[in-house]
Amino acid sequence: MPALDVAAGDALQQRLQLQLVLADVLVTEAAALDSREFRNWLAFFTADLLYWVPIRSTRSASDRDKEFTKYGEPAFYDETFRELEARIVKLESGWSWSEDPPSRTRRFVSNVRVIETHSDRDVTVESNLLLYRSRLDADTDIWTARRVDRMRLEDDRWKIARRSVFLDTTVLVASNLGVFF
Amino acid sequence: MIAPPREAGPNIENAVDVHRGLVSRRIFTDREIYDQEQERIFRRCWIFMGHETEIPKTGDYITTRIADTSVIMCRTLSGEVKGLVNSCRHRGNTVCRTDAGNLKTFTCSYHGWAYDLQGKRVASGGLINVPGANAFYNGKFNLEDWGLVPVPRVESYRGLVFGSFDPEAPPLETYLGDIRWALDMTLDRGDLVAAPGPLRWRQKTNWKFAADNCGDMAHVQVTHRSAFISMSKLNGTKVAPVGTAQPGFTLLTEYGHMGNFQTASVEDGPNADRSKGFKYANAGAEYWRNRPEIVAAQGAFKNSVLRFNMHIFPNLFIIDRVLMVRNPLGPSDTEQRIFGLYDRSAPEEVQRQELRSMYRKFGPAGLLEQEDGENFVESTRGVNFETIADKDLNYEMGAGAEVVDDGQSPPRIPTMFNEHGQRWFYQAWAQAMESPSWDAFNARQARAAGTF
Repeated sequence: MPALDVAAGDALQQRLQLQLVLADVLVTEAAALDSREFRNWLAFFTADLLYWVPIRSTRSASDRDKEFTKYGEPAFYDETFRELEARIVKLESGWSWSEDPPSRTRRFVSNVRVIETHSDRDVTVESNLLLYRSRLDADTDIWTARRVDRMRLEDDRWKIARRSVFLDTTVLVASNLGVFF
Repeated sequence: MIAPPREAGPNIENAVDVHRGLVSRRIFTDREIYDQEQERIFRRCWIFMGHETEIPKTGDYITTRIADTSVIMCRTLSGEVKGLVNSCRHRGNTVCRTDAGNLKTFTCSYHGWAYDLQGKRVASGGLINVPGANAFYNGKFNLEDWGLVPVPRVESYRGLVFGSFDPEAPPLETYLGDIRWALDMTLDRGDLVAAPGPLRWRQKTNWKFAADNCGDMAHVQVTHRSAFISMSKLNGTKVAPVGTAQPGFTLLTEYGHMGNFQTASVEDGPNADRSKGFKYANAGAEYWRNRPEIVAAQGAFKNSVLRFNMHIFPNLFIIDRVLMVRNPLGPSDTEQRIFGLYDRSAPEEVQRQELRSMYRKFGPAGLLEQEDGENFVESTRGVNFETIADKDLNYEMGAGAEVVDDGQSPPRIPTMFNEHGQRWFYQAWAQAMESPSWDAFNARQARAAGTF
């Protein structure tokens, strides 16, 4: 039986500790959205945020690099912090019919892992998102996505500076896509 | 291959009363009416398939639709654009299961029947190989008889590709007729190409609710109020009170095409959008308005139009440079294909800003279109209530009250807040439904005139 590698054990512990901290941020953020605390939700993002949900299409295996639109091309969402905030203004306006009556949403965030460490205050985190939405009488939508977040430690708080959401659907089947991922 | 016209269809008499502005709820729900729409509208009229710049090179293809039918739109060796029905002649499988790409042949994944895409050895769509043609078929298999079914008519208007399943259809340009005046407004304002990644969006709605919304300016201040409040936060524009008329005009042209045009108000002057941060202004509009050759070519009247939208019968909506085609998959099931055109001769930053502006408003997550999606679905829900199936929907706004100015070409109605466009659309719908042939449909067309 190999001897326990103490140094490797410490590194593993540090890595998992950071992963837990970041996962905690992501599930707390999801809870803010599910409870429709949109202003609190915005506080999870840095002022230079870029929030992006590209469009997906079905491509052959040899063309897989063309599945998603590239950054700068058309997207479902391509937002700065100010633009995301303007979408919150829309939701708060009292005229936002697609979300009033509000959707009942439940977000499940899992498979959180750091995929790149840029510095001890700047990492790229990947997670899976399952978003269930129930609306009106019996309209239901389920979306799943791979999310890639660039997270930075800012004022002792991990915030999201870049969010890319890679949906698993191509044809969107729903009355609208008035929710955030 | 194509079903012959039926002797007698469902009774659509009284389904549309153009003069009183009444439309029966049944036309959105009745299966027989839906089936007749397939025969007399979607297998007859010119249906928008895509933009030529979506398939610039030989072998490029996209899969698009004509109604429920998956159609491969591809570019052959000779540069021609073809439409092929995406169904193997052997067992019916779709031979193309991707949304876009570049290929030499489409090979069915079931038994390997292979069809030429580029038209190298045989015409595009021709069957070029059946594995075992000799060994399994006693050497008697006749490849020539079993090519993919082509869309019999495919024509383009300045890059916009349309297809028709009816060989008797008039030339596309004849069918578009006077609405080309509006189409040209979109197409003259730059070197336009299709943006990548069309959105596909499927909703539980009847296709006609999406169509009739295109003539509807009155909904904007209510349905989209939240979007304007949101945009006002970003660019400091004012939000017009609900029920405020704005200057503009309505275009009604033959075959049921229609459009709404918002013009600068007198006090704003023709350059309102440039000088006062007009609320729809985007980088693309700014760009062409600063190009003297385009401004000169457009002329003072077209320059006075701040924003506009049009509907090409039966199912293509164009708002400025955004195209949305709505294909019915069932009486309460519609799929939209949405993409923007942008000016490839503009600086990269202008292109980028224009695309961002389009896609922030349109598509399922668009600030404007989230609510449109909601409305189309809710309209469809409500008209399906059987107990009140006999209570017609109201389309009377402006009915009989406004005179078509036929001294202008094309003729126009000098207001924008009305339901003329919708009544015009349903009039053409009824004409098409009552016409057993193109000749009969053609004979019913007339220039808008008098009081409508």
